Amino acid sequence: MVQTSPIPQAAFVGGSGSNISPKMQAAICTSYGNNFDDILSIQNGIATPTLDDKPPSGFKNGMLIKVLSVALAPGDVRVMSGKTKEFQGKRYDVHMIIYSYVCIYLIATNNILCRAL
Amino acid sequence: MSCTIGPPSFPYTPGGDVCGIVVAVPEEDKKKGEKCKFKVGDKIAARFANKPMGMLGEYALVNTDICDVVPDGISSEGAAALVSSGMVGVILSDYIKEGDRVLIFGAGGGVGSHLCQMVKNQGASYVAGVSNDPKRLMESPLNCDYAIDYKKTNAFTDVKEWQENPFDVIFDLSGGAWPQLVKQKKSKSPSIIKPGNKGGRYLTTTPDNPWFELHTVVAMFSTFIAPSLKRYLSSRLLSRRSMPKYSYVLALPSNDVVVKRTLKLAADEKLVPCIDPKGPFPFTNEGVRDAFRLQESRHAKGKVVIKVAEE
Repeated sequence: MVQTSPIPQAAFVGGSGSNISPKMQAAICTSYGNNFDDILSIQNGIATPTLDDKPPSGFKNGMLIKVLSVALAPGDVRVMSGKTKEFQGKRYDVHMIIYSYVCIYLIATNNILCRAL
Repeated sequence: MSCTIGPPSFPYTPGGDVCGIVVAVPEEDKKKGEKCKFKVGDKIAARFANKPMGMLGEYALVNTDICDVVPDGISSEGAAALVSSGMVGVILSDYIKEGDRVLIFGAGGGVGSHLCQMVKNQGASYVAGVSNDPKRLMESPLNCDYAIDYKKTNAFTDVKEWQENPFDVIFDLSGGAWPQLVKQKKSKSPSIIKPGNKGGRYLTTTPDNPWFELHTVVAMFSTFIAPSLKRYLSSRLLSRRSMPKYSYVLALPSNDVVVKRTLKLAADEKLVPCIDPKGPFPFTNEGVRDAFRLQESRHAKGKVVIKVAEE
């Protein structure tokens, strides 16, 4: 069984199998760009993630948290901009994946060599 | 679930580095016999896994491999800042040796604000910063020995003391300092950094153009791979007597070792989380949009943080 906590706030109105609401409020981005007024908003009724969700790629050992604070980084804006969507987006083709791994390998090797020398 | 997968699967929820309270943990891994190391009610800080997305909501799934319990006395805003930029600052500071003279480009941003503190902790003898708010760099907790405004002062030519007593290490967090060093070398004017054969090191976390676009493998190669490999090799083989050793540092380990270390440093008051004074931004339409605008400007003074809920 999944261990869950009592939920004290009004937003958590109970859900199947736990007392966490199946719906939540979340920031939603609707398309690429940097006109944040148009593409970014807080919306209600977003499905609350659960431990049974299929996790995003490269993500394992998931744990559910009630979010208190979120820090932004350049990557947040870059992903949203679409300027790197072929590499940081969802739909890759095979050669893109292979080349990406080669790039990561070369940069990692660079770091290792740097420390060694 | 499409909301947490991310682009180009729209809509998605942005946000990657987070602090929150554990409300559900996975059951015991029966194959490995391992129980989750966290329990319901723990206040944890987590770095993003793979892609920065899925965190900016009331609830989020985090990867237990890249998070740790937040020590008492650290706010949720501070913890979110630490697990993101603070952690990178800690990793970069490992390149510092006792007595190094250090120059940091982009010293006022999220990573820079934490790196300024960490290089002092590591025993640097002199720390100088470049940003658009030099006064802040010289105040606590950053405590730089000297700072300049890049809009008013050219770091490569205008500070005589830096040319007379060049740095051991340059951290380029804003991008574009290497071409300036090459230009200096070609003009045969005194360099502000020691050459590689005398211990000079140049470390960066960004390409020359921080607003880079990558749409093809060729662009990936010409933006990241070719310049970093060329500079890495030439600075060690061909120009080690005139240029510092170049390194492009990837500072995102996929384990909790540095997360633990960063939070411990903060608990021991050796690292103070730095949050842009305009924040923490409220979890409203305007608040979130303003936070993204500030992040996009690359002129944040510390970390851009959004407060989603009270503790």
